[in-house]
Amino acid sequence: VVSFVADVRGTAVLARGRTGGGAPDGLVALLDSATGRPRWQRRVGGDVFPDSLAVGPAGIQLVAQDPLTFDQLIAKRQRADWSPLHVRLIALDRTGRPQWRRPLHEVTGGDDPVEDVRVTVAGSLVVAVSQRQHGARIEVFEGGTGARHWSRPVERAGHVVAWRDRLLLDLGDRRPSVRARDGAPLRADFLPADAPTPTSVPASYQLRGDTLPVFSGDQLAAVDLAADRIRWRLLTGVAFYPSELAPGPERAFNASAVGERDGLVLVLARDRCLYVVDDETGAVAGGRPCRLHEPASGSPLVATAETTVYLTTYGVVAYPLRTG
Amino acid sequence: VAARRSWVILATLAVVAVSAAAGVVTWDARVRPPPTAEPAPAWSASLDPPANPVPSAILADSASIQRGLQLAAGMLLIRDGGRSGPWTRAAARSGGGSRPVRTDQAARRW
Repeated sequence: VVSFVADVRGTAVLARGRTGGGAPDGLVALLDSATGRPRWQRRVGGDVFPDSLAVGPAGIQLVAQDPLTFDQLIAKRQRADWSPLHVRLIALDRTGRPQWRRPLHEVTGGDDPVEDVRVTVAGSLVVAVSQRQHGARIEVFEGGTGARHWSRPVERAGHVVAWRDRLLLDLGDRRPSVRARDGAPLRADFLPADAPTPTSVPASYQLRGDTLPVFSGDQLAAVDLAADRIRWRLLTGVAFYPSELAPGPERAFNASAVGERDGLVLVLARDRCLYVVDDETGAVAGGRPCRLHEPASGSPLVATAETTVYLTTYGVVAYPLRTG
Repeated sequence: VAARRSWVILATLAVVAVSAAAGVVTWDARVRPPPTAEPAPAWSASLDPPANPVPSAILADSASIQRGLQLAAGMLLIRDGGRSGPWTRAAARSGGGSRPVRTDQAARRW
């Protein structure tokens, strides 16, 4: 299982949880996004949660837990061993040196293990949303020191987008926005009233301006968060059949890889074409490249000066596509 | 005379057939759009072992996956084309726990 994040400073970070032989090693590697060559790699130990990798000003963060093979976990449960798996948030600097690690909240007794964790960077803060079978929890840490700011339970986990001084929480049936540094509620729904429904916010989206692209069926809409309105909508009407295993048409913009660069919204849709959309007008640039590798659902997409990088089913791929 | 006439007819038919085939090929080449080549990636990378090109490395552990499928009734199916969470998801839902579970159901709504 390979995770991937990248930033526009020309780096891509990969993490692996478990090797083919079942040996968990928590391997993290930082690649040069122009060449794909590793600058460094480090074993942090443990089983890395695949959606927990994040990169920001304070460095690289990820969440791992004690390594157990599946058989070992089953045996542990059968002998009623409810000891925790020590889910911890690990921070590295950009050279791969460990900075700090902090335990994430675990239910006493360990009988409701953490199933999934998603980490988001919000300025100098690091936000971890963990999903367990019986609930979810948001925990916010200081990126530089690991100091815990606040923590609270929620009913469902979801995606977090950082915007200005607040967190936009896409928790499935609710989308509140809260103040990042203390969790104070600000709005019940961060989307404007004219937002399409149902709406899904792209996972792992690093917002730089005020435009948040959202998906709804076969349309891509741009939410102007500052003006609290929909700036434009892009209708594709493109339906395609992804595979024999998943019969039935799928809309091209569902769960695409999405990113932004220099006032452009970049969407690598499920039809394997890269749509380059003007942030202000919604106009699609001509000559879109197609027949690219299909993106992993919800993958980040990062365009640097040299390459466009995203996650596929098998790993990370970079194309020499100029988008600016 | 008849044999010579047959030869002439055969030759004519052959010329017509070859011309028609050439015409069809030429027309097809004009009408059919040229095949677009798949763009070549600049590079690709994976931390998974190259000998194991399946989406998730845990699939390589076939004994575990078989057991997991039995225990978890398919919960080990890979989500999102290969990005699965740790198998605790499967284990957590495969039964075996009789202790009361403390939950956060009382989570306050925002």
